[in-house]
Amino acid sequence: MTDSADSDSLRLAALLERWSKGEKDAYDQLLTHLYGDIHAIAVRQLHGERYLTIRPTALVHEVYLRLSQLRQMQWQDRAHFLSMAARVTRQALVDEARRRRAEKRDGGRAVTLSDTNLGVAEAAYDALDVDTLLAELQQFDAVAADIVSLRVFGGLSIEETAEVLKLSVATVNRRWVTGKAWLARELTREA
Amino acid sequence: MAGSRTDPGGVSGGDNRARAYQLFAAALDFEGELREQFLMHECGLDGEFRAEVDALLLIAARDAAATGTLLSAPGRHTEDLAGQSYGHFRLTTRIGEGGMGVVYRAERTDGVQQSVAIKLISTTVGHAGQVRFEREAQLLAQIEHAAVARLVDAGVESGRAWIAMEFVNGLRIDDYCRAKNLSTKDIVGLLAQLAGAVAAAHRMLVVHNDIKPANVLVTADGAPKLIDFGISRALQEAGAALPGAHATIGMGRLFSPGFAAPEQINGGPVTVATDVFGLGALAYRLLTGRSTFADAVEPLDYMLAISQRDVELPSRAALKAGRTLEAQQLKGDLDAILSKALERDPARRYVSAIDMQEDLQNYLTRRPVKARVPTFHYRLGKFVRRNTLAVSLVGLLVVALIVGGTIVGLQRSRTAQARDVAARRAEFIENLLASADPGSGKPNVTVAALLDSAAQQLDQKLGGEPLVEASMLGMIARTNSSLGRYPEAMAASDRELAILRSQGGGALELGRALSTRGDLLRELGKWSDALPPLQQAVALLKPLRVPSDLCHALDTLGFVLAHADQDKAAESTYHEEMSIEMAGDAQLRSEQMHPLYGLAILLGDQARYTEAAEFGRQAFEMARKALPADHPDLLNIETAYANTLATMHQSTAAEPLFRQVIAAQTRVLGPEHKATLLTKLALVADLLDQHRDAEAADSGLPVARSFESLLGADNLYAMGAWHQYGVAACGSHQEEQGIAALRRVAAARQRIYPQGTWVIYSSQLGIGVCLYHMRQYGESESALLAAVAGLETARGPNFNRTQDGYRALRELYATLGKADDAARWNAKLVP
Repeated sequence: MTDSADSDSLRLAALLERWSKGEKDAYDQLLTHLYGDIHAIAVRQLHGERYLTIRPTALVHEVYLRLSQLRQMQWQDRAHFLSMAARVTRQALVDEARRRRAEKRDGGRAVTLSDTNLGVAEAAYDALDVDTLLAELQQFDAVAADIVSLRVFGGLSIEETAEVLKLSVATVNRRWVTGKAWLARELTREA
Repeated sequence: MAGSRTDPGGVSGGDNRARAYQLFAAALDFEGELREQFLMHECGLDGEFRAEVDALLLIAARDAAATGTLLSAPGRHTEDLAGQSYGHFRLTTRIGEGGMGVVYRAERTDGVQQSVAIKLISTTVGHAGQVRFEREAQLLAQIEHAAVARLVDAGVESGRAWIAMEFVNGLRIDDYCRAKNLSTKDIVGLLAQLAGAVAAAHRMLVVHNDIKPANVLVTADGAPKLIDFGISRALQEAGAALPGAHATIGMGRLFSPGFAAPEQINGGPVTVATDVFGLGALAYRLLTGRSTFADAVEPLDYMLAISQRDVELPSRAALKAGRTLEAQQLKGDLDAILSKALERDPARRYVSAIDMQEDLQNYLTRRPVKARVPTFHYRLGKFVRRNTLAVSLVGLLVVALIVGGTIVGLQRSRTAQARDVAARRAEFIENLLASADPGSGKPNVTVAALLDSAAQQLDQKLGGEPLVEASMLGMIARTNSSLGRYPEAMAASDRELAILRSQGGGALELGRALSTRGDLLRELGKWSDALPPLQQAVALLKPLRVPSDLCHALDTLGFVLAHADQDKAAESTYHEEMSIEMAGDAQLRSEQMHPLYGLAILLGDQARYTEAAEFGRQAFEMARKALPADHPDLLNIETAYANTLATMHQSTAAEPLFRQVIAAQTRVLGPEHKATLLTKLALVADLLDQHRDAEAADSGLPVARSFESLLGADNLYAMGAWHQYGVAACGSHQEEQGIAALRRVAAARQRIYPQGTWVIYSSQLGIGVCLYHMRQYGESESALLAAVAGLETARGPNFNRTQDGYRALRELYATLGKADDAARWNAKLVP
């Protein structure tokens, strides 16, 4: 590790410590920091690739593993960290997709993502489409939209999702099934 | 892809997509034929729309198959039983699966056209259990109500219990409400119908014991139907252990998390109150969108939750579920109704499903909701305690009287003998009600007549149940008293006490009866007669840990002591009551308004005006928070508060308050009700304080006459009213009539009150002032001097009446030209 990476890690560890104590500004700073991290990883993965599909879950897990080496995390911390990461990842991927579209870089390639959770294995979906559809689902089933977002962009388990959203496991299961089915239906709808 | 999503028309348009999603989510609750019915019902002939919902269902099904996710509980009875026979029925198609087992549609095999739903219970029942199960089922088959799915037959076939029910073509109530997007009012309407159905079953001595959304269907024309009435209990009686995802065994008991009452979990007796809780939990779910203890889905969590904390306020739960509009609508009345139904202590819930139904109706018709008044039994006591009664409450009391009797039976219905008693009691009550039924050709039976007929029939019908008879007599006494029917109330109270004394009634029963008796005597203004029974009642109730009964007795005692001129004892009695109430739960704490109200009056009479006004204000604030706008108790306390303001010479502030209260009391209680008359009397006094004597005389005369005809000439209120009238008449050039009234009152007071009581001197003072107006200065002087001396001794120099006396003497001596004497009395006036 280089010196700058070391000091970066120390800063991050301090932020995590303060965040776990419930300090609001630490949360905001962590968000900014994570955004930088996740966005960088995504750009690096996508760089020069025409058809590479991002797996947000893998991406988030990578960041998480790195952080957990800095600081021992409790299970609840993990769930809340992942929910933060889900938010950041969704934003990073959408921003990157918009930027690419605007700059017509990489031939205007879309940012696509895939997630085995989404049902159809190995299918890749346009990140902007997923984002738009989740925003629509938010209008008529906000809970389902939150669940799908956490599961797809953050890789949270059903139990972790329940913990973060303060819902029962049964409810999460149930709304996950309906939300996911709806998203799958819309993503595969013929134009 | 992106293009299709911006297309607003067609099936893929935003609103339609949302609707398709919601239908899809709702349809997952059904399977097989029921799902098909639901979709037909909702999509009708809109094929495109239906295809959209189907596509979503297909994706979910594939997903479930691929991941092993449970969309619905997998069938425990995977084999298809269609074609098999149970009793007179042959199974045709499988229509679903509930907590207790699989459900088939079935037809009769004996040629009769009848379509039923047969539930095959997933359990085995032994021979002894079979006999009990079939006997219970026979009882259940007798329940006839439009909103109860009739039990047609039941039996046990090769160890497996089955029940055949009237087939109901409908949706689960929660799905129905969601699919129809019902308003809060519509849902409350459905719930009121259900409460009526539950009450009908209770009259048959059957408790449902498992009210929840899965057990309520709504047909296409919007009629709710309860299914599985009493089945879970029948099966438990039969010793059957029930498996199932929804029904769960906890501490050896069957319960549904989110809907089960605490007593179903902790082993308490299951009574009608259990169903009241079930109705409350169902209402909670439908109105807030969340189950009670939404965070405790697992049976263990629910058990812990319900045994440790109260259900969250419905309006708050709705807010958490993101239903802001509903949250607004739930605030107030519905919060109160649901919270009362969901009390953890069964005794604090609605006494019966009828009471709950009535309150739901009250909400729908915008009448005051009874749940907003503190506990039921306490309220019963208060009818008399506050000597006021909203006429609509009479109905409630009669129902309580009737249902109260039935419940005793229900709770004891374990044995056949007890069941007989309950049946006899129910029969007695039914006969009683029949006489009030307009259909019986006696259209104008009043509550009073109903009470009399109850009192007459009690002895002959319930002579073998002395304690029940006594408790009914107690209620009859209290109701009659609140109706102003004092002789009838006295007669019932006599009988109640006689029965309890001869039959060896317990301390609680006797304590309550004596408290009722004391209340009645207080009502009649017989202070010295009222003291012994009240002191006995307090002594009996004190060791019993019945704080609300004890406080009731203390409150009455305080009132009587205050009027018997035992101020110190009254004050300490009120303080004792307050300290008990302060240590109690929220409901008991809110009862502090009564002793505060008593203290305000007491201290006002002792010229401790600042303290009195503060107590009055506290009582008023408390009452305004706890009681609905027109509640008689609130009106009384408002009067007391206005009174303290008036005695503090803030007459102009008090007058509008008095007028406002009189208007409300006239509306709620009628113009001639005692409480209304009391406020009118207070207004007369207030007008006198403002030197508007002519107006005071005009309004005082009818009040005095009404009091006299209501309570008799010797009644203290009647005397007070005549006194006020007399003073007012003397001050407005009607001296002859005025002094006559004052002399009559003075004579009566001298006869009734102990020597030295201040009201005697108050009469004398009035006479002295009147004589002054009549220019009979010599007689006036001696009357005034005697009155002032007496008042000074009894109440001290700062007392309002004493000061009035000083003022009168100053005027007298000024008129007589005795400036020194005038100055001497003037010096005693408090500026």
